[in-house]
Amino acid sequence: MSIHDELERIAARAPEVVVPADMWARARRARRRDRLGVVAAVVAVLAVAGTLAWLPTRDGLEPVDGRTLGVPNRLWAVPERMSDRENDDSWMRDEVSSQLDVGTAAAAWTTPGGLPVVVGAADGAYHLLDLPDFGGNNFLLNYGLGGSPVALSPDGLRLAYAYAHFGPDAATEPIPSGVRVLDLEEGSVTDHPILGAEGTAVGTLTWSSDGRWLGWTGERYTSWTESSTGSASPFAGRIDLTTGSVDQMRIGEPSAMTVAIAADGVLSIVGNDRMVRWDGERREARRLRGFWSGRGVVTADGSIAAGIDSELAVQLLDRRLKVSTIDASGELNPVAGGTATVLGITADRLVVRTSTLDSSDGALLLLERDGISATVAAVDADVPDTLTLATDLMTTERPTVDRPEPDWPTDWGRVLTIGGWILVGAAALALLAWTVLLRTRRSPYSSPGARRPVP
Amino acid sequence: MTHEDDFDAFVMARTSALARTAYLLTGDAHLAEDLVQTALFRAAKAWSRIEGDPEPYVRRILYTQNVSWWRRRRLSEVRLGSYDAPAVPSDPDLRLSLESALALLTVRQRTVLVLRYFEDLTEVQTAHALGISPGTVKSTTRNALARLRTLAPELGDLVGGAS
Repeated sequence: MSIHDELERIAARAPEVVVPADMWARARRARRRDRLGVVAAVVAVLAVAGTLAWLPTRDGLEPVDGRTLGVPNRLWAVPERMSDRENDDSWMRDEVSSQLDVGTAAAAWTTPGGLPVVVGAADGAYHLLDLPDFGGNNFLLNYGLGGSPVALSPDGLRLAYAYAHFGPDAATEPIPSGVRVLDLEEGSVTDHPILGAEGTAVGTLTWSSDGRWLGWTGERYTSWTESSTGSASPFAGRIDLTTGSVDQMRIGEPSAMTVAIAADGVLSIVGNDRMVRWDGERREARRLRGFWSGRGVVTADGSIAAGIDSELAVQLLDRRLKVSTIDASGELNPVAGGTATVLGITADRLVVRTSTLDSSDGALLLLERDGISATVAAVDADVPDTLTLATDLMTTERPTVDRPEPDWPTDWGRVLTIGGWILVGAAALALLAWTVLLRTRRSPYSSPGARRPVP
Repeated sequence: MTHEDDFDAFVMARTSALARTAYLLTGDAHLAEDLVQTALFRAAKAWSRIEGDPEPYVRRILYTQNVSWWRRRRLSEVRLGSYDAPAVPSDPDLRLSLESALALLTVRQRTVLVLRYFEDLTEVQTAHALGISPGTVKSTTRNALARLRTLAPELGDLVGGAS
């Protein structure tokens, strides 16, 4: 007898299988259901794929008023990784460009890492600029001496920035330094050197409302190299952009002050319990109580408007040195400790940026003299207080425009790091689960045949 | 002749043979019946795509479905201790011993033995039917026979002849 024969004998007792008469019909119905399921799955996949394809397109939609210049109704912070530097302090990311003819801009600022950011007025594109000899390129200036400013002109056509050229003779010769003005349409740069001693590191830049004048403050050094400075003296000045002339004067200790320049070229410096007005020749100083800091603007009636630190309010200093306060109301949501910064004027309204102490978004307000305000844009909490705006592009009828969110490249290093940690965590959990399973299997109580010990 | 007629003819002609194989594969009359009906139902769904003889297609469903069921059952059900109660065989002691021993094999071992020694397929044909390599068929067969010898030494001659 073979195993085949024995298997035949066992199989002889197989049951008689009754096949239902409607099996064929049921199978065909099931096949139709399967086909419908496949069609539904394909439709679902196409719908998901289409949605995914559509989402970026939606973000990248051209604004309806694509040819209209405007300030975006939301300003997004630039990820700090974009400000990464090489060992020689040059910018590491490919997105940082030395092509400077980016067109009219709506906003500009520097990141905490010292990288200039310019937001296009026509398309809302974010341009990260490698400005030639920008002061913020220098590690000492950016991190040790309070940073270097950029300032966008009210019409958005020019970007002023502090420069300092550290050449081969930087250790022994004065540092060529001052203010440069970049034409954003042409990409050309005009130097306005500030002469004297070993060089001047400009720390504040402000435009007159008509874009003719630039006011500045800075520190003049008795010695200055790429990585060290000697004693400093505070200076302030003005630049006439129609003639290119640079005027400067020594000022008091700039512990805290507000600097503004009027359309007639009068530079006002408020702080240190006094106010100084200077027209390039005549200097007028008046005693003044109160605390002033941050940027200021000169209104049409000659008043100086500046935000108040730690308060969501703006104070006004008129020509007779009378101080009044505008407490913003209307749509403003007060946050304790929030700060208001006056960025410019459009029509007769102040353009005010509000910031909160927590990580919630700030806002751009159009603030009237009577305190009525309208929120016209949101500002990421991480957009630094170096923000400047092309306020001429804002009107009361159309203060801001819709622009797409910037699409920053994926931080693959971060993704890999997080993914790696997730894998490690998953492996640890799997190991733990496996260990518990093994212990359970080895337990004498888990075996069906095991006997429980008698207590 | 329509597809439905073809299917009906196949059912009439081959269901008994399929049932015998299913019974050997499962060791249980009810499971064998379910297995055959499932295989025929799945074959009917795909009937229009079957070219040539449908039997290899149906048998492959039979084998793979049994393995699939076993995988799902093995954690939730107690393994069958033996085949159904025997009828009146020519050599009851030997048959009972082989049935009991088959029930103690893994489903893959049992399936390979059924294909090799009941269906008389070659190693290559068995490998093709189960979707595994001929080497796996060979080693599985060897292990299955060794296990039978261990579990039922009295089958020594029977199993020895097979190996």
